[in-house]
Amino acid sequence: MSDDVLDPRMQKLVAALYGELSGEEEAEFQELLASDPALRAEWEELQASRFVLASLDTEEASPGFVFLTGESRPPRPGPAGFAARVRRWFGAGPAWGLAAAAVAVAVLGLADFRIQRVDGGVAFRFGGSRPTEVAGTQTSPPPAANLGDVLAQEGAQVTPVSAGAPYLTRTDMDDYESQVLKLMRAMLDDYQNYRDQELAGVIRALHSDVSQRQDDAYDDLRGRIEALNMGLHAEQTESDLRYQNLVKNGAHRLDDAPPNGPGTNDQPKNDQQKDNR
Amino acid sequence: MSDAELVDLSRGGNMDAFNLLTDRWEDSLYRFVRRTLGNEDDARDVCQESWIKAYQNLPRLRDGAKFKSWLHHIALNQCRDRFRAAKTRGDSVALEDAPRDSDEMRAGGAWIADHAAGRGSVQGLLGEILDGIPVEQRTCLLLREYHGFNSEEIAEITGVPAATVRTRIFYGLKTVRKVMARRGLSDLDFN
Repeated sequence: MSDDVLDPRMQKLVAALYGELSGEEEAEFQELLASDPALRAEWEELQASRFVLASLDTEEASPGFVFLTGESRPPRPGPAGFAARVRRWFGAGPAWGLAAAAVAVAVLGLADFRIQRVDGGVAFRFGGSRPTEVAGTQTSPPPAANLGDVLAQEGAQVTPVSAGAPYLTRTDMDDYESQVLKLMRAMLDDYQNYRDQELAGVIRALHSDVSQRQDDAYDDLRGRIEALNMGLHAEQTESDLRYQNLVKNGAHRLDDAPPNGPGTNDQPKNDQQKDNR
Repeated sequence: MSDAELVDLSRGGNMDAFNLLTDRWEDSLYRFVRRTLGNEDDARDVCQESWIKAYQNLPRLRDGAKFKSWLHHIALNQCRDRFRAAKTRGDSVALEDAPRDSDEMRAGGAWIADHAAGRGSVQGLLGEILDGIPVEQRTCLLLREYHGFNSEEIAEITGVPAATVRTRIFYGLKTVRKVMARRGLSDLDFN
């Protein structure tokens, strides 16, 4: 790269290009510009370059750099905010972000999830039990929640780059974000496990109840079958007895009949009658 | 409230004052570093390191009114450190070896074909043009064109005389035309 300093005319050209000349210098330069076609050509070329450079979009927002004061700051507009981070976590499309947010709100709402300031601290909880204090001490006025303390007491390992300083770096913020997400995931997993166990308990109770009912029904049915069996058996026995009695009585009557009486020589007699006819 | 007043308050331990300085200049600083390094992740890191250094060294700043120049000076030094580290590692981009307008850029024919097919936006073209300017020229141009620093302030930031700054701006602007000519672009492409 050439750093050879330009001649004074070109130095003035650049200074004039950006309005850095005084009124008197500017007037002198304009006279020079009018009388020197080569200088005029350079001027127009540089102006054209500036015109091109002016097309650059300079609205690119920074990713944000946070200095903590323990007091709330006005939210930063633009894509550097929390919403942008959420979009990065859940994907690029706004639909995904909305869907993820809706699911998160629904799940947390169903679980009665709450973040509360308790006794000067911050507490997370599901359901109606008294929340466990996880940060802060009982002071008046209560101090701002220290996210590092919250995460540490929840079991997260966070070592801020800016430890001891009243600011958070982007690295710290990324670290905190990932740890918070990790904690949220763990809490949701716990909740899911709780729901799974609860559901398993319900299913077990249902199964036990159904089994009991089935056993009762089976016992009842078996009892009925046995009763029927017994009834049938009794009827059979009675029937057998009656039959035996009948047989016995029948035999007795036969014993009382004459030797050629009816039932002994009837058939030949009938046959003889047929022949006679 | 002026930068000088905010710097005074910050020196007295008022963190809100420093936060206001952060809010005021972080976008500008990020854009400068982003365009100087040409890499978003490195730019974030450099901005972070620059703000930490600014915070830590605030008591050494003699004239609070020059906070913006001083901050950009810190960031530029961080960029230079990055370039040096990249050169030591053998990475392709280093301060002295930054891409020039002819050799390291893509072949003009293919680039023009992309452009003609509508695949390159104006911002993309400008980004490539800026990336084609040697880093020291680009730094001066960026500070002058997009950050409102005059030659004297850029001289303080970059540590070279104001005449050298004007020279770099001059050659930087000439390089823009050269790159455009090689790419077959005209001013109409940027209307």
